[in-house]
Amino acid sequence: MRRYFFDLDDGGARDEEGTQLTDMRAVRAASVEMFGQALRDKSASFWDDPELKLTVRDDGDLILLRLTVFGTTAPAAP
Amino acid sequence: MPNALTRRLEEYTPLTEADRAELARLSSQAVQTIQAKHDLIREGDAPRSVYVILEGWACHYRLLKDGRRQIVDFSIPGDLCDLNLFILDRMDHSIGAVTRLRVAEVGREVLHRVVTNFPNITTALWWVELVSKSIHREWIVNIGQRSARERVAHLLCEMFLRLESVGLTDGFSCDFPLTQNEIAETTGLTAVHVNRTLQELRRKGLIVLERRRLEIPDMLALQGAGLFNPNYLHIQRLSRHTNAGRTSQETQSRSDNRTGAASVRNGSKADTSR
Repeated sequence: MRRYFFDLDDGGARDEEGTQLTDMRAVRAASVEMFGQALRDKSASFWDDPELKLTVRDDGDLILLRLTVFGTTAPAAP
Repeated sequence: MPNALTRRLEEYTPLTEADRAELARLSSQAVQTIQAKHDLIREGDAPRSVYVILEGWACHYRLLKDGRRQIVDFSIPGDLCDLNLFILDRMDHSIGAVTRLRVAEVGREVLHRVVTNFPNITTALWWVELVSKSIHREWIVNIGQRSARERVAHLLCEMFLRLESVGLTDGFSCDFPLTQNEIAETTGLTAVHVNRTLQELRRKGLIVLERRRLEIPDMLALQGAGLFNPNYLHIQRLSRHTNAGRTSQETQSRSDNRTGAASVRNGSKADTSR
């Protein structure tokens, strides 16, 4: 099984260890689930800087996928 | 050196010499070894006996149809897997060996005899069941409300203290045989997230975790990171378990950490951290 590296730009450090996953299908599933949890964990502070990005690399440092959430507040919001 | 089962039950009720002798007997009959990753019993099976864990860790789990697994409890030495087996026709969950296990098997008649003739043991067993429920309540809070980091930190604190209460820690170190997948299945996270969280906890100096050994250099800090308050474990004897060789000041602050100080700190941290 290959090792994949998940970098979240929430102020934490780069993933130095990686996780072994069976294939890209597992990588995709894990990335969404992990990203969702990370977004939830940021709920108190998310709107201070409303962007969250997850980048997944392979062990050759090639970027395989990226997940990004942007929050925008409309002018009408009180 | 009392066995783990005796130490566990003595958390809750004083035991006589006769009680202890009976518990020693229970812990030494029908002893079997179960290989790691094998099941003691599966969901849907008819339970026949209660297992006393002598060595190793067992996990209680439910499997969803698509193979997703949720670990709902751990049993460590001194734990009984579990008294409900006595009453149920069919298991509502599975019990598996995380590590190689040594267990003593206690059949219905034996347990019935014990419960009839040893009232202190019976009282202690009742406590064990109540604490088991308390732990489950805390796990619900863990999965419902805590962040990923808090969940993992909380689990590490809990397992350390449970091991300490049966004499299986060495200073601030203990065995910790769970894989990242198993931690994930316990905390409702992905293995990826567990991996990341453990890296964070290591980087902050809150844990040393390698080769299935956990060391907690700063218990108060790890408890803070997990919003951990040990009250739900109802462990009475923590201060007696802190090791000789620590200064009395360390011992006192350590038992403070586990009681008032920790809960005050947890209360204020909850407002700011997420």
